[in-house]
Amino acid sequence: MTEAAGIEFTRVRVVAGDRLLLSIPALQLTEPRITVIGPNGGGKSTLLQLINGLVEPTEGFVSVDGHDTVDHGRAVRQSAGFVFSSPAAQLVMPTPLEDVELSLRRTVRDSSARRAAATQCLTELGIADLADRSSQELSSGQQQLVALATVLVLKPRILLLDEPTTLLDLINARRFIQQVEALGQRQKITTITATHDLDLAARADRTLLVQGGRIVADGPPERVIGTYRQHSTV
Amino acid sequence: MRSRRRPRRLRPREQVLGRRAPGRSFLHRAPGGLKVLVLAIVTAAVLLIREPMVSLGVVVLVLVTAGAARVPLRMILVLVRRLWLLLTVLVVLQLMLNDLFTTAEVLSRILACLLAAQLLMLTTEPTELVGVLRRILTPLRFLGVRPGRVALAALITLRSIPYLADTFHLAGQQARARGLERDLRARTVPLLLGAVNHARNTGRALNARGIEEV
Ligand SMILES: Nc1ncnc2c1ncn2[C@@H]1O[C@H](COP(=O)(O)OP(=O)(O)O)[C@@H](O)[C@H]1O
Ligand SMILES: [Mg+2]
Repeated sequence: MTEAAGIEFTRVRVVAGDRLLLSIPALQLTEPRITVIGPNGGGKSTLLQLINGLVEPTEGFVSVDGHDTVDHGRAVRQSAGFVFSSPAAQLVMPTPLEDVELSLRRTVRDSSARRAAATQCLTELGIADLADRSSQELSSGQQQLVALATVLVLKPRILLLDEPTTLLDLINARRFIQQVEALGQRQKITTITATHDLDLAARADRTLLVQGGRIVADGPPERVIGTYRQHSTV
Repeated sequence: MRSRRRPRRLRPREQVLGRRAPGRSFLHRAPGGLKVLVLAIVTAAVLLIREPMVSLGVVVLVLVTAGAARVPLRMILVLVRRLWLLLTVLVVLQLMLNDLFTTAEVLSRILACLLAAQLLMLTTEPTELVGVLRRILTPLRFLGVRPGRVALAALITLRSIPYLADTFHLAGQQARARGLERDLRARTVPLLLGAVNHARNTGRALNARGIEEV
C-alpha cells in the first residue's frame, strides 16, 4: 500500500449497464481547494462520489491517503465528508442539534459528550440559535449550514461539496461559502467543490472541467473556466 | 496488481423501473385489453378451482408462453426471488396450521397468479395498461366514476416510481456518506419528505396546466 497523501485515481472507469459514465486514466489531487465544473450529466457527482467510495470504480483504483475506497470505504468516508445539494433531504432528525448528534452516535458513546460536541460545532458555524428549531421549518440556507455541521462534527480531512449552493439564493450561498472557506483554512480541510457558480469555481487552487465522462481541462481556475466558457458558447 | 473485494456494481438507472422484457413478439404486440382479459380469466379459474394440478399447469403454461415470446425466464422468476421471504413464511404457517396438501395448493395458486401477472407486466407498456383501465371503468360512468381521472391517477403513480426509486437511492447514499447505513430513519425520512414534496409539486404543475384527466 502506498502511503501517498492526497487522492489518487488509477485507470478508473465507471460503467453502469453498458454505459461508460466516467473514465479517468490518472489523476492526483493534493491542492487544498479544488473545484469541479462542467455541464449537467458531465460526471461531476460521479467523480465526487468516487472519492468517498459511494460509487465504486468498475475498473481501476481510487485511494485517499493510501486507503483504497473499495477496501476501506467506511474509513475513507469518515475522513471525507460529503454535502449534497438538496438541503432539506439531508436532514433526518426533528431538530438540528439531534441531527448533528446522530452523526456522532457511533464514535462518541457518552451522550452528554455528544451533546457538547454537537453544540460546539453549531456554535462554530454561527448557527447555535437554530439548535432546537424544527429542521423542516428552517430556510434552505440554514438547512444547508446544518447539513454542513452534521459532516464537520466528524472532523473530516476532506470535504466533498456537490453543488452545495445550487438551491440557495445569493446571500445564503455567499454565507455558506464563507463558512466553508474559513473552516477549511482553520482546520486544514481539503475542499473539493462541484459547482455551476463560476465565481465560486474561480476561488480555488485548481479546477477540473468534467464533460462527457472525461476530464477535458485541468489547471488554474481562470484558464479552465475560460475553456468551459468557450465550449459552452451557443 | 493489488487484490481486493470486487467493486459494487452501479445499477443502471432505467433498470430500477424498466423491467420490460425487450422484443416484439406476438405477446408484446397483442392488445393490452385482451391480455388483461386472459389474465383475469386465468386468475379467476385458479382461485375458483383450487386444484394444485390446475395451478401447476398454469405455472407451466406461463413459463412456456414466456419462452415462446422470448421473455428471459430469469425476468419472470426474479419475482419469486424478491418475495422468497414472504413465501417462506406463508409455507411455514400453512404447514403449521394445515396439512401438506393445502400448503401445496395455496403455494401453487399464489405462484400461478403472481407469475401470470408478471408476464403481463413484462410485455405490456404501462401507458397501454392505463388505457385498459380507463376502458374498464367507462361503463361505471353512471355511478359518478370519472375514468379519465382514475387513469390520470394511475399514470401519475407509474411516473412517480422512478422518481421515488431515485430518491430512495439518494437517501441511501446520503446515509452511507454519514456512516449511517444501518439507521432506518436516515434511510427513510428523506424518502417520505421527498414523496410528499413530489406529490405537491405534481399537483401544482397539473393544476397550472389545467389537466384533470387523461
Ligand atoms: N446509476 C446510473 N445509471 C445510469 N446512468 C447514470 C447513473 N448514475 C449517473 N448516470 C449518468 O451518468 C452521467 C453523469 O452523471 P453525474 O455524475 O451525476 O453528472 P453531473 O453531476 O455532472 O451532473 C449522467 O449522464 C447520468 O445520467
Ligand atoms: Mg451532479
